This record gives sequence, structure tokens and C-alpha cells, in this order.
Amino acid sequence: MTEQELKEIWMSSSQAERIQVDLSKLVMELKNKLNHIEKVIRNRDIREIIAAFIGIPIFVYFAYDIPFPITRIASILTVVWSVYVIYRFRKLQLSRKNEDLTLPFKAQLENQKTNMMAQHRFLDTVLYWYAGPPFLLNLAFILGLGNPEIFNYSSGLKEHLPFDSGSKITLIVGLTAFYTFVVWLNKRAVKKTLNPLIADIQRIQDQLETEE
Amino acid sequence: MENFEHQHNAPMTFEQILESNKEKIYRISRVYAVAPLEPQDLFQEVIYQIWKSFSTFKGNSGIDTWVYKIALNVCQRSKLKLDKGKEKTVRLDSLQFVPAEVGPDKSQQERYKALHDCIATLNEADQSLLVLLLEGLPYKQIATITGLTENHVAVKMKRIRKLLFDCITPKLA
Repeated sequence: MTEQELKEIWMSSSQAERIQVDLSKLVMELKNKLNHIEKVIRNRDIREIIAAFIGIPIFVYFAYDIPFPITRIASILTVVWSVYVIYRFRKLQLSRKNEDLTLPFKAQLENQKTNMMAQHRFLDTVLYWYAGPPFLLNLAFILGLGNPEIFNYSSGLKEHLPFDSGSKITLIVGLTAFYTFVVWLNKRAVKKTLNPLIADIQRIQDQLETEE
Repeated sequence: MENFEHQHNAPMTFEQILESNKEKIYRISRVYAVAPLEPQDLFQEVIYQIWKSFSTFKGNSGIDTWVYKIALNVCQRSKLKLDKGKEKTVRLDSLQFVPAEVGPDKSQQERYKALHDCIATLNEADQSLLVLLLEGLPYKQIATITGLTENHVAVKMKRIRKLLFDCITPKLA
């Protein structure tokens, strides 16, 4: 068996099937595919931003309507945090779009690893930027609600706010469970999805680097 | 049909790129396709990426080199399942795979299966280098496609050849 014979075996593998291309239809289908993918990405981006934006007017209204100082400050800071979260999501989305498949294999691996590491950092630190800050702000918001009579607070919103200790404790327990779940989900994604992918890319990089 | 301009070469059309490269893309796709993904799915994904990236082709390397880079990168991404969150593959009607009237005989098919099985025993990086070698590319071009130095490619190829022959010789004896 010679190398030339192996090459012939390899080359003959494409003789098993004939690839028929309807060229006029192909470009149209490729354009449709591109449009469809762009539409899906655009819709996903819009959904994520709307979800993040929804909290902003609500907490702006809280800051305007609720007279208790700590609750008011917590509402304003929640708005600031929402803007920061939108910025972080957008930044990650933009970095993902910079995937260049025309790079040499080695550079492409490095590019993939950089993207994966960015996602790893993004998800692994959700406690510090996504779950922790709103949890603390929610706590401040709830605990800051004082006696409405002292501030002559009589808004329609009053009926929906937790003023008694029982409601406050129930809400805090619920929020603790919710944010713990959010952190757990993200840590799980890091452990089950990203860590194995990063390890796989690193393994291929090591295989390429070694001269043995 | 769309026309694409090269910086250094004559204007080329997408169909010329496709016609002259479709068989090599399919050969590589057959190595990297892992169920449930079929070689045909991988093939059309490579074609899609070529079509999408062609306007950015700078002509610094030959079109062959550029096509091999995309094919290898798409196939490797697919193997790592990096795109599993993306859109499910929808077959393009304009690409049809028809069994050849006079295809390879049984002996040729067995020889290819032996080669395919031996390629599968290699690690991912070696597989990538080997398919380029089997495509008949010189070390210099393999180095450009992979981003390794020519010397590094030569050293690795010596070992890969040995692994391949150790595997395939008893199978084809």
C-alpha cells in the first residue's frame, strides 16, 4: 500500500454520489436561509432587549410614586442596573457575530476559545452582575417600605406593595429561591456545556501544537 | 447569478467556485459528519458559509486554500457541536445527491471504509492534517490552511503517516 494508492481511495470516495446543483435556485435558497437566520437573530435580540427594558418604566414609576427614600433609591438603582444588563447582553451578542470561518484552522480555534471564554465569564459571574445586584436592590426596595401614613402615601399602588412583615418575609423567601435558581441554572450551563467545549478546543489546540 | 470580484484573479462566479470545489467539500464532509448530521447537511453548510463569506475574500491566498479553510472550520465546529443552539438544518432543494450510475465497486467501497475507519482513530488535529494530505496538497498549502509552520506540518505528517499505515495495512492485506 503506497501513499498514492491511499490518495486514490480517498479521491474515489466522491464518485459514489453525483452532486447535482440547480444554480439558479441555489442562490435564491441561500439568500432565503440568510434572511431567515438574520430574522431569527434579530427577533431574539429584540425579545431580550424588550425583556430588559420592561423593568425600566416600572421602576421609574416606583421611584416617582413611592415616597420612602430607601425604596426610591433602590428603584433608581434598579433602572441603572437594567441599562447595564442591556449593555452586557449587547456586548456579548456583538462579540459572537465576529466569528470568521475564513481564518486558518489554528486561528479559528483560538477565536472559538476566546468566544467560549467570554461566554464562560458571562455566565459564571451572573451572581455578581445579574442575580446579586437586583436581589440586594429588591431587598432594599422591600425593607425600605415604611409606614404609609407617615408619608401620607395613598397611591393606588399602595394596595399591591408588601407593607406588613409577613408579606415582606414571604416575598424575600420567594426572591431568594428565584435568584438562587437563576445562579444555579447558569452555573450548570457552564459546567455541562461550556467547560467541556473549552476543554475540547484546548485539546485540539494541544494536539496541533505538539510535534509528536 | 451573482458575480464576485477577486482582487488578484479574474472575476469569478459563485457557480465556478462551487463546480470546482464541490467534490472536495463533499469528501471532507463525509469524514466529519457525525449522526444525526449527514454529510449532505455538512456539505450545504460549507456551501452556505462560502457563499456568505465570498464578498470578504481578499485574494491573499488562492481560492482553493480559502475553500479548504472554510470547509475545515465548518466541519470542525460541527464536530464540537458548537452550533447546536442554532437553526436546525433544512435541506436545500437545489442540492441533490444522486447515487452514481457507475459508482465504486464493492472492493473500492471496502477500501474506502477501511481508510475512513483509520482516519476516525486519529485525534482531531491529525484528522484535519490527514484529509488535506489525502487531497494532495503540498505542505506549504497545508501550513497556510492550518496556521502551522511548514516544518511543523512535515514533522506531524511523518507521525500521522506511520499511524495511518499501521492501521490500514492489516485491514487491506
